[in-house]
Amino acid sequence: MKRALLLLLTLPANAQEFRHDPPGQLVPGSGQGRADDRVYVPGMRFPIEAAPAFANSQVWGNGGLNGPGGGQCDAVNYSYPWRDNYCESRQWDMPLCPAGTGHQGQDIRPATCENRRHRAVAAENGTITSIGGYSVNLMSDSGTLHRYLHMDPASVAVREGQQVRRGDFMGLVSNAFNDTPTTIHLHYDLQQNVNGQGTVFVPTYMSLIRSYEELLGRPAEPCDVLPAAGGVVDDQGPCFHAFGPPATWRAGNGGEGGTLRWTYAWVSANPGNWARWDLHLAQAGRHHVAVRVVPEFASSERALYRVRHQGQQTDFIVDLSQPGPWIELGELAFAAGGDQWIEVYDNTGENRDLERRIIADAVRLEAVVPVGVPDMGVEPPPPDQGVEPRDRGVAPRDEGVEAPDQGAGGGGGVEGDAAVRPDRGVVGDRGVPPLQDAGETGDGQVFSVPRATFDDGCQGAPGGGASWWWALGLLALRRRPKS
Amino acid sequence: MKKLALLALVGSAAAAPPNAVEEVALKAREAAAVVVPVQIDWPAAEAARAADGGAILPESLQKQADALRLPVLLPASLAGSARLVAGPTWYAATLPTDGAQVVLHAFGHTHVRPELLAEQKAAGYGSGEPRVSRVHALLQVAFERFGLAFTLDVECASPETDPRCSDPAWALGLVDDLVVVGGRP
Repeated sequence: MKRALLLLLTLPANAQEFRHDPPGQLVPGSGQGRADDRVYVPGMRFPIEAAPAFANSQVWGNGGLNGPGGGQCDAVNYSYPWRDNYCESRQWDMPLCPAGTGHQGQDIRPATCENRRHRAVAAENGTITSIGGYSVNLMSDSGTLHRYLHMDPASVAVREGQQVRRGDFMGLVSNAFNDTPTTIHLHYDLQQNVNGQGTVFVPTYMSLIRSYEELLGRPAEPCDVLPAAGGVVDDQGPCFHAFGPPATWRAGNGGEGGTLRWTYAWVSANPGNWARWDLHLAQAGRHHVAVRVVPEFASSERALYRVRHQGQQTDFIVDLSQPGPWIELGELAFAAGGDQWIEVYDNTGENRDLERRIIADAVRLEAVVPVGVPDMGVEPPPPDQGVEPRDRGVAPRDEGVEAPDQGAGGGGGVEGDAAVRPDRGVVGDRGVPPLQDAGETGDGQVFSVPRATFDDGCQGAPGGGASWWWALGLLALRRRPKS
Repeated sequence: MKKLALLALVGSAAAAPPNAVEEVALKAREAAAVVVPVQIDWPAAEAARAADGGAILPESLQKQADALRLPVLLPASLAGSARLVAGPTWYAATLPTDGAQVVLHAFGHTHVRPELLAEQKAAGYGSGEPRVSRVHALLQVAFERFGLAFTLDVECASPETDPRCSDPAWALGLVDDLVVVGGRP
């Protein structure tokens, strides 16, 4: 038993420490929150580059006008658990808030109470639409308007009209508020035109939690570089990322490295769970691309694999029930370097009741012309045009499967991708699976350790009368001595 | 100590795997919404442009506006200073003015979220009435025209003292001042 306790105590610090209150649970007395556990922007990157970061109230926290006293730099403001402050009492319209008014987004303190030190980054690929004295707007390719407030204007590293990639540096978190400084934090909110009825500030909290969990799980080591001959990228390595609800990713035994993950296929326009293997190649070349299957965990007859390679994307519909252990997708050209990946999605169009399984274990690249063997001057085929799938049961994407997403497309007049996914993956984006701990990865067993625990806490008091107090609070905060 | 360890283990014990119904619900909560283009009311937009007479824009700006596949609206009083950034289904116009910056975003795409429709209806969405919000002294008016959704943000150099960032009257006046200056089906 002592050994078991020791095991618990030796979990990675971040995994053990990160806690968050549930969505909608505000500081008592600060209004009535919205208990909404929907992830409105799946696959987004946490908007501050490095952990830790602390989502909590500026006005009702220490140093805030309505807080318990103290100063903004008090340790309690820089500790877990996170607390939602979407819908915190404000005077102005917020239709999705129970009170009809409230705070539009989430306030996030960076790792330390240091001004102009911590980097804010792009949450999704998209276009910078405007830059003000303390605001930067980013319209993502998936159609969400991300708003960043209080970055230091001198540090803003993007320009109006610039296209950015997920993870790109945007600016430094600061107390900028034009001529009247505020506390050191990033106000972050999300706007979408919903149901063709008008724009809504959608809840941010769960999207931030998921993206923060991904950030915390990211290993320190970089994604492995594949040598010229190719290699295997396994789900246990730093190049693998699993997205979507952790509870619906399951662990299994077998495959590469002895363990694998799987989930059930379902019917949906967009994926609920999806996995990505980042590919970083030492040199350019054509490769046979194959995916590892283990029959017990691979039964979907139409799994969608998308391969990003050499600046383009190729889709394959794969019958995973065919004999393995490797199923070849095709022969594709890859560039040297990163921004290349393979993804698999769970929205195959097969009803969940059929219990068809999608496996996420390993992928393999094998150089078409082995390294060191002259190719006898044979002209290589044109890049990926008309390359026939090599195995039966593998077909380029057909019309029978829903596109993962139809995004709003990028800016700059580029036509939108007809099948844009919420996450494109970028160089330097070294996420890891949203699973916390393999623990006992028994056959078919659900991963057992949740990524975060909920505190027992107080439910926020019913909507307090919104007022100008928050504005006065900010006025008071600026007068507080900086720590 | 043994009791503590046992409690810890119980706390971290494997949760029961979700059943099929639970699984679909979990996945649905984290799946991206479908995004589709809005239905643009081009006849109404063109009629409004003819009636209003548009606005006089610098040549390069006019060309840029005319090339967009969305009705391009700008406040007539500030239109000449606008800077446009656009994507296939949206545009943004930054309109600097003395001591303040106005930003207009137009959304020609929409996220399909049926579960929110009732709340939107209850809050008066679709009624044509503008909605005013304010965060960190950024005042925003949200409204719809010709099938597009718009937001008009006002950011003030002196956010705590400039009435344009506390009283929505000026921002609402800009919304009333909007004219169709470009765009094509």
